[in-house]
Amino acid sequence: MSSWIAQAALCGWKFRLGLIFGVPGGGNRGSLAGFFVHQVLSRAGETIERVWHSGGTESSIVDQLAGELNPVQALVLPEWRKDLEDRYESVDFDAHRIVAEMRLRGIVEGLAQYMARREPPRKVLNELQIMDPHTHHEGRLDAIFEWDDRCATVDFKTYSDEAPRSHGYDHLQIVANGMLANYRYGRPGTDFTNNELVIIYTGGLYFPRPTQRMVERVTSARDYVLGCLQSSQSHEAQTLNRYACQFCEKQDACGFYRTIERLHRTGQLADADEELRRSTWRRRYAILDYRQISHKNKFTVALNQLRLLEQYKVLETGYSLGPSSPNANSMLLIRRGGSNAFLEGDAVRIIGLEPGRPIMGSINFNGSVEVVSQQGVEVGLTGRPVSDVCRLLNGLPIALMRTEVDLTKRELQALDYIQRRASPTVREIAEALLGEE
Amino acid sequence: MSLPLNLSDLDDSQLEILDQRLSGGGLGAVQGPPGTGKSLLMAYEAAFAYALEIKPIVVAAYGNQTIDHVLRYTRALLSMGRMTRMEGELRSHICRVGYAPAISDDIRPFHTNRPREIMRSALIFTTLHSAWRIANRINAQRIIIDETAQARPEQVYIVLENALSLADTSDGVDLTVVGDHMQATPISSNRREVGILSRLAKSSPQRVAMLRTTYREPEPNVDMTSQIFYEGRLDAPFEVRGRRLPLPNRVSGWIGRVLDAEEPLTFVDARGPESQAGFGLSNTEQARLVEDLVKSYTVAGIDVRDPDRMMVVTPYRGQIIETRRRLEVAGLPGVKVTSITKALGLESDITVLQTVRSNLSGNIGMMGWTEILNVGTSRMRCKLIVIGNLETFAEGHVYDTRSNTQYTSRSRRVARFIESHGSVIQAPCTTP
Repeated sequence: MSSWIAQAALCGWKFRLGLIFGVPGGGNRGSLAGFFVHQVLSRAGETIERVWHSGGTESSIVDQLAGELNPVQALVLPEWRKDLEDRYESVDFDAHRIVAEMRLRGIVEGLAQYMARREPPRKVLNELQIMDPHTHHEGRLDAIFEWDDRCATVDFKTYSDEAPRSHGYDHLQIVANGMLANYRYGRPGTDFTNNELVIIYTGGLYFPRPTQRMVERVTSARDYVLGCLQSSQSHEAQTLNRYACQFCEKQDACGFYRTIERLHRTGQLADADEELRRSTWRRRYAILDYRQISHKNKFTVALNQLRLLEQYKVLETGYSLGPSSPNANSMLLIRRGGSNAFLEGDAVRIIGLEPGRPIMGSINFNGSVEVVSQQGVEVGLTGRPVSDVCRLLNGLPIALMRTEVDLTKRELQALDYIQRRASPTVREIAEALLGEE
Repeated sequence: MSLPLNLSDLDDSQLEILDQRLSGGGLGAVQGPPGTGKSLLMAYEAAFAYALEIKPIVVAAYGNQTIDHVLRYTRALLSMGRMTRMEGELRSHICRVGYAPAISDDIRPFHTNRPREIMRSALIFTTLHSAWRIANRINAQRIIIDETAQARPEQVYIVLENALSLADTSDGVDLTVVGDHMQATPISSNRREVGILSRLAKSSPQRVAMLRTTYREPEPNVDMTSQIFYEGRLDAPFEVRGRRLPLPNRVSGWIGRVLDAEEPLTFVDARGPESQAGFGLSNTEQARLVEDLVKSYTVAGIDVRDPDRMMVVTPYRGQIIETRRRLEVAGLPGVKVTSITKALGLESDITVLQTVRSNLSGNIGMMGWTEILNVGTSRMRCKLIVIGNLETFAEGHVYDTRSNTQYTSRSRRVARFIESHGSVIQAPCTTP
């Protein structure tokens, strides 16, 4: 959600087009390399922690990190290749690989600069999902470097080689993420004491400042996002950055919907278009409702006591790490007497209950229950190596929480298609399918 | 029509609908009550369209298991029709798009998400939410969608969005939606949501054809399903009506009467209380009775671990967990115990249905939802054993939190039907 907030802070319309109207993104091939780099870094927490502790100069850290990341790259490469081949009819994989490896090298150099300047942290937490139930703000942080008395909120800028701009998208996003980190450490969202913001980009470091102006922009964008998502409220979108349109890939869709909404407001929309607008809005609101439902457990968990949550089977505690093979895709979580709440196929969040941290600010991972037995449950992990998850959960009491998979993005896109791009024949079929409730 | 396909598997109503769908264009819907062969009909439509060179064809369903099932039928039909010589050749004509881990092992050889292979295929099978992978690379001439009773409009639109070329006006597309709104509705916890098929049935009933012959339930069960859920429009052939499951060994005592193979419809009246721990409603006595039944069927010579032979269903997660645990402790793991929602599309010789709710207010809870009640009572080929509190079940009150109203469910009619056409056996009481 931090990325939506950053987007809404630049252009309210762009945010609404993506998240409410369902206009698909541009599918920029330039960001494909970034996906690879992100995948490698999301699995590299353990490596970063180990190399940092072993010390050295900036260049020796670069060499060591690059060397140790080779096996991770080798693991990610075939998955990335398959993903590219599944998405594009023709793709020059080798060319993309060269760009991706160069970008990874650049990020490693930036990271090494930071590692050489700071003492090793107590823990490197990578790909951490945090939700603040009071502000309804959720985000996935690329990394938090955690010392005893302070932390660093880290963003790896992997999608391009350009340095981040002050007051741009990256700056807004990391301030939003920093606010989530503040929640994790029990501070007010706007209190950035002992929370250093760092953007690591190709070959460099950028330390954005959480100025009062930036924090206000983020909080007002956050309020705007929430207002838009509450179906009962109507919010006027604003383009706050005058250059936003120049680089926007959604200009056509923006023009279409702005025109439709203007004609509707002035009563000039043709009857058929008015009817289509009405029915698609109804369905959009329904989808947003479904989206809310798919997130409700997180709020229930964040705002209630463990005992109550356990009683209502929203969450089950008493799990501990069982023996797992580091190369496996699933991990055994042991619980005395087995599980009372889960069945095979359930989507779950594995939460390491860290002392002094809010439940939804604690270490957590997504997975799905594969086997339920008297011993406990075996959980398949989504996109994380078992070894890294075990490193972070080691020694912590573990709780399992039921989650739901949010598939609403595709549904909104389909509505955008029907309203904006479908041929009259298809639109006719769509209207017939809508029928009567 | 001279096609190398064998039509002897289809009955008159199936043939009539198939003919309509293949000759009439545009949008059409098929309602298929339990055991009427929806998946088979879909496979026939796909195979015939393929034979008639109406390509490409996209076949979609809400769930992975269902679409794999339809693909299996289609593969068998195409192999039988000798339109393709071998499995390897079939693979170049058929593809299954989607998330690989969710696809059945036997279907995995057909799996691909690669654009070139999708473009090359004549028959593309996908779930609704995986259809985005087709990404307008084809211009489907025919789209067939199953499980549309639980699909919301926008979920079906995902298929339209991606299976039709953006460049083409797509005037020629034929769309068949299949399902049964008496068996399923969209999954929703706080909205009264209406599925595609139900919407169509209301707005254009002339577009909805119903399959009327079931091949699953014997007498009197088929009459119960027909009268209570389908206004008496469902029938079963003679050989299905008389179908029974002989037991190799005899079991004595009260439970022997429950197992009686000559009585396909039995209600075991168990008055033990329900217990509620949050969302996890359960009933210990009913779980114990399932354990007794499973043990007795084992003694009677039934392979209880074969899901084709026996299945235990219930609407409540808490009861699934309780029953599975009990069976595991009793040394009987591996018996299929599943939710009614997940049992949609499945069948077995013996079905044991646990209603769970047992209270003085007559609140039957989820068993009062028409679709749940219909699916829960129609999975069996030979024998249905309902375990529940008959009084609560016959009261059949349902409290609808969405509209804050109480209504009486069809469970009352089911209870009356069983009392008059089946047998009701009082379970020995162990719970005070």
